[in-house]
Amino acid sequence: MPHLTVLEGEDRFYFKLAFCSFFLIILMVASLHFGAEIYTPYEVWNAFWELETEASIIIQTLRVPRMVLAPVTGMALALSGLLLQTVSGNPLASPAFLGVNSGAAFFVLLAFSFFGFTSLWFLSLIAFAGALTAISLVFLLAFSFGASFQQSTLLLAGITLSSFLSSAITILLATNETTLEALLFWLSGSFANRDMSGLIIVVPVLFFSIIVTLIMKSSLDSLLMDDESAKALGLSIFKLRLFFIFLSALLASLAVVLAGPVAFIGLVAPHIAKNYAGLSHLRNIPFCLLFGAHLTLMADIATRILLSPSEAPLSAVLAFIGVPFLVFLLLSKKRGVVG
Amino acid sequence: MDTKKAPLTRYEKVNLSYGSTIVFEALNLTLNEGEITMFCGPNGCGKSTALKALRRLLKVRSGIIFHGANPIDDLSDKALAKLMSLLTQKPSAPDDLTVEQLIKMGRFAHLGYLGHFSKKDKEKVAEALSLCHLQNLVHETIGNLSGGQLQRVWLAMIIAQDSPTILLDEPTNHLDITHQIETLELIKKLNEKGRTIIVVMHDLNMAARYADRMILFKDGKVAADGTPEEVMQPSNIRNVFNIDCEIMRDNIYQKPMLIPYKLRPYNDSGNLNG
Repeated sequence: MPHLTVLEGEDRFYFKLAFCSFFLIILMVASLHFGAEIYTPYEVWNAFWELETEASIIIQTLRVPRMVLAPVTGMALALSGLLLQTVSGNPLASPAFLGVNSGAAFFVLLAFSFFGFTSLWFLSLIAFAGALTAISLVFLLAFSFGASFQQSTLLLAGITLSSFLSSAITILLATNETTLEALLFWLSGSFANRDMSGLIIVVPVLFFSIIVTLIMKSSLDSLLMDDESAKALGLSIFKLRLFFIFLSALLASLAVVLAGPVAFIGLVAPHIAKNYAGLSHLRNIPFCLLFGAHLTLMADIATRILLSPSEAPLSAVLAFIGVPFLVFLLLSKKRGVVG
Repeated sequence: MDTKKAPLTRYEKVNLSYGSTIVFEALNLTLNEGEITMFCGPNGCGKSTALKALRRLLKVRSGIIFHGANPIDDLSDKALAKLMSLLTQKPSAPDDLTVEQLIKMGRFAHLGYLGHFSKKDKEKVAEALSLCHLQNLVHETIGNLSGGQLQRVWLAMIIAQDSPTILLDEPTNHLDITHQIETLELIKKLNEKGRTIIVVMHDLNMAARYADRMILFKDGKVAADGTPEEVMQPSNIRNVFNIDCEIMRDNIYQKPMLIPYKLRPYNDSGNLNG
């Protein structure tokens, strides 16, 4: 049976890496061109040197931030998902399972309903606080369930809290008819009208996380094994799990600051990366980051085109692209075509 | 033979339990350096528990386990991994891992802060590969291996860990007779290269063939302890396993061999008569 993931030659790895990086650049450039208004490369080029024309305003103030925010968010969520899948030994794990999205959404809804906050920057902060609160609660629950973070306890705690918060969100939404549309839009995540100030925090944290995970690749690899075997190899698995889960939670919460709750990237991107580059973390982390960026950029471009001139909700578009892809991947793997 | 007898591991009044189930109370046991010691006994007698406690996968309730000069609790996870490796009873890893990736994991405790493989790490991996005859399977994914091949891969991982003491929890379980012999011959070879080896074994005849020392456990106590000749006595077997048997010698190695005859009757409470 042919195996594409069987150890690649170094050349092949770097070729793939170069190819995927190049594709990222193409997508970033494309995201400047497409939207409610479609520009030619010539117009885009000029827009950078002009002031006060329609094209220059749209491109400089609306599309450049999205071109940067989308890939950074995608990378943070993808890495967050990969860490969580490895550490929990559960291929279905994603940041949403830690309660990140529902926590953020719940807090934002509360702020919206009772105080009427509308500043996007302030909502981002509220969302971050909500994500962190939810994660802390999940940790507390997990500790009281079993304390060892083995396989299922953390996910069980996460799913419990997420479902609780989701129903609370539904109830809050029902009492909030006036602002419903704006809220629903925020709840599905978006890069529209976001400013880039959040990047000052997110980019350094993301950079630090990438370096640390690449250095600790062997720990991550060995965590794929059963607990006893991993311990016998000398891993302090409790400490390592705690550290990687914390890192994963931090990345996911920061992604919420940039774009609101975005689903599916953290689930799908790691799977594509593992199928494409194998299970070695040194190999699949770079691809995981790149695929996260690709998917988010593609989805962001699609949100602008699909319902033009209005915007389609990001999470819905992501699910629309991501889920069929994931199904295809899993089916073809089962038949031995991929992996 | 006498030069091998330096004590290496010491259980001192060790109490072990799973939750509220007590497995050992005040276990005292000394294991020697350079020997192949086999832990035998019926299911649930605590042989695996004693092994796991030595590798600190299970915390002792009270008492101390010494390995070399130090109590094992004084050592860091990595330091302990450099002294002792353990192949668990049912090791598991994702099917998509390659043979090489898995064996490389054995080097974890030796890697530097940046997690890179040194020349020595690569040599040890290559050595383990050739010792276990896996050179042709290096790039194969472990999901495609047969049971015997897979067991060789796990053994190679433990060998790559390059620790002076190797612990094995039922390494021949579920293997056919060919692969059982293959595994035990490999263990013997490692012992001849100076490794101290402690094995949990179900098969008494195989244990008697390869062990320097056999220890029979029953109900959290050492029921018999000594050379295979000393331990493999009908009285010991009757006491521990509750069967009548005959002990013979094989023609080539002159090691004791057990022929089981029949089970002794159960008593009223559903337990076997001791």
